[in-house]
Amino acid sequence: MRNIFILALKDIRVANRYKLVAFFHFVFPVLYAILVGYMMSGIVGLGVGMYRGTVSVAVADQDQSEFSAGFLRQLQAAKELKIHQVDFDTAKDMVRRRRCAAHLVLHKGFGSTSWLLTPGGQPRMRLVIDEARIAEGQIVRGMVYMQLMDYVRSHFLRSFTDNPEQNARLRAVFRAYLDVDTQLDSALKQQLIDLLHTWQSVEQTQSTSGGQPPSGPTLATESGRFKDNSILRQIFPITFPQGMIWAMLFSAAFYAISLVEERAEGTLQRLRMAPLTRLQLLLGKGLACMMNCLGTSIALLAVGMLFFGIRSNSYVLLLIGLLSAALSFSGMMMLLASLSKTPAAAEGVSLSALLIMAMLGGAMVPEVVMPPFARTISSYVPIKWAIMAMEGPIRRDFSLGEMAPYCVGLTLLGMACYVVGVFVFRLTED
Amino acid sequence: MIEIINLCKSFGSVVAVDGLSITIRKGELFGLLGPNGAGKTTAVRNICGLLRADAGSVQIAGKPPTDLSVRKKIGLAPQNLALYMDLSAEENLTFLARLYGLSGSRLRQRTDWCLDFAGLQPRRRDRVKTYSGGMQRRLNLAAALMHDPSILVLDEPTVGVDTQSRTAILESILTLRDRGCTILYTTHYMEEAQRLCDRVGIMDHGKLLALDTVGELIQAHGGKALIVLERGGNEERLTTDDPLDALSQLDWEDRPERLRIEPASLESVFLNLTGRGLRD
Ligand SMILES: Nc1ncnc2c1ncn2[C@@H]1O[C@H](COP(=O)(O)OP(=O)(O)OP(=O)(O)O)[C@@H](O)[C@H]1O
Ligand SMILES: [Mg+2]
Repeated sequence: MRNIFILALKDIRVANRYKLVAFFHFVFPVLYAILVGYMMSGIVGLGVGMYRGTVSVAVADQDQSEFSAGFLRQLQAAKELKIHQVDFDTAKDMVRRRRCAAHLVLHKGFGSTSWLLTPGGQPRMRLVIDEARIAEGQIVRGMVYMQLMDYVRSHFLRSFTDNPEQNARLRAVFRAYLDVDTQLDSALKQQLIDLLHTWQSVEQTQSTSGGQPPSGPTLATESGRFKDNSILRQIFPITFPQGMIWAMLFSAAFYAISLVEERAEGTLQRLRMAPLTRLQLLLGKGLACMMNCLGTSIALLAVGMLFFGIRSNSYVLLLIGLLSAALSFSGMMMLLASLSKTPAAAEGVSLSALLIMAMLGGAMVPEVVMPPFARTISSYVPIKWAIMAMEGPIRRDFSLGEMAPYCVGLTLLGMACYVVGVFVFRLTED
Repeated sequence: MIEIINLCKSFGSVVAVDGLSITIRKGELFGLLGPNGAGKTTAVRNICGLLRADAGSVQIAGKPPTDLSVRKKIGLAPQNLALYMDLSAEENLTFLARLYGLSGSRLRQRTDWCLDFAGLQPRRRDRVKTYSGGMQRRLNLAAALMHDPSILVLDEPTVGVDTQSRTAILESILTLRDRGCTILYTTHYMEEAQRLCDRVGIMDHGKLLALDTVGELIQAHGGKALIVLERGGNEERLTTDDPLDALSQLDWEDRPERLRIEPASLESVFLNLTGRGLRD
């Protein structure tokens, strides 16, 4: 045991001499956890109507009517959008040069509103989204239609509510919209339904009292209902465990490479001449690897706890999770290392294995964006187990029993890798 | 002490060691010579148990070299530097010593001894990769001595080392021999082997060509001595088995301006046995 420690301490000492190691083992995972945290909060926030960023849209107003100008003003007021009012060619160009995520053309006749009064009529405008920026494009699409409906509603509320006949036609148009455009998102649908209700009540008040129309319900944007922090508080407990996994993966890969490097540089000869067994040699490296995995992931956890509000329901369980993850990662990497002949091979194999696992396991991209088949594979990837073992005590309130399958799986896998690794390592010369 | 019997080792189609049999006696300083690619390093690695022999066997004090108790006694200075370049000399040495169970004052004492031996005391805390080639080579040798082994296997320990260090190293090696160390020494420097070694084995193409004391080898394979005379700007070369007799028969009326006698040496033995052709 003493020998294993001596070997491990040497390896950690060597590792600490590399500047890049600090970056990959600590800085990168921290950056990952924080940056992805912020990015995901944007994406998730979008889903719950909390998107805080702005998307640039180039708008070409070819109609130049009062109606179109009013609509533009309304668009400009929407804080989710940054409107650049330009001519058509410039608008196209701005999308091409990535200055804008989409361009919107208000064609001649946009303000004539005749399209509104034709059932199934489409607004005389065209929204073109940069295919490479679908997500932002969808925001634009949603916002533009929402604003359009809002604008049209208030416009018509002002000018048409005294004409019951036109009101009825308008209502029919909106109904048609609801039926035809199945792509309308639910929020928008709700808006339209509200609108119809408003009209109904307007008509009723008019027919009963003939007084002033009440103002319709204002467009309810949900932003401001949550504080930004609250969503980050939900996101960081997702991204920090992932960052911890990154820290572990990089640590583990480093030692896989280091073992093969010792073989190439001849220091392994010295170790093999020393009174050590092959098992001790491999375990020494493995222990260094485990300690480094634990050290880096705990450092990351500390950052998360100190500055990003990460908490755990049970630090004992968390430690068990960390230990079993470290055991299995170090085992997998030691197995890879004993199979590799050259440092380049070890580097290639370990890094690609690592990246593929990270990808499938959900350390690289959130599971939400994975296609279904990848999600299925994901549950069989050890990194997924490790993420669960870490998320369990951090955000899922896992009990020991709920943690057990993941931890046991990781531990068994790690031990199996060590056993095979030692066996292979015994067979190799040098 | 070290018994090598009919050792064979091939790498694919390359036969590196081909039926090598040598017995190295206890307390002996044995030199293994051979041109590049002769199979010296391969033999050394088999002797240390780092390679598995295809055939034949190596016994050290009656046990295979892979035996833990045997390994403890061996100090190997590999031909290729085997050092942690990102650690300092001191860290390299203490790490190795700890693996051999040294600690406390004994550890410090051995570390100091080895650093003195390598002449690296002033640089002991610098990283090895910042050392010159010769310094690294000296440390590579010192690292083999750290645990005070009774058997030393030194594979070209003085390559790239300056004359001062070389002299110091050779003296230290002789001291170790006098203290009872058994030493296997490979080198390309004939004068080193001639000066140091009790017995010398010359190998080529994996086979042992000759094995004896330096004197006996020269006698048997050294060929004739060479007498070089310079008269009036011309060089005359005489080869002879008996330089004294040849000198006495010279025409001393026509006195040469210069005279040089080159006795048969280990170098001539080596060239005679392995030929003058270049090696890969
Ligand atoms: N790991 C290896 N794989 C393949 N061939 C090898 C290997 N090691 C040595 N050889 C071959 O075995 C032969 C003997 O090599 P070896 O290193 O033992 O020679 P050497 O006598 O030590 O030479 P040098 O004086 O140049 O160090 C060479 O032909 C070499 O190419
Ligand atoms: Mg060699």
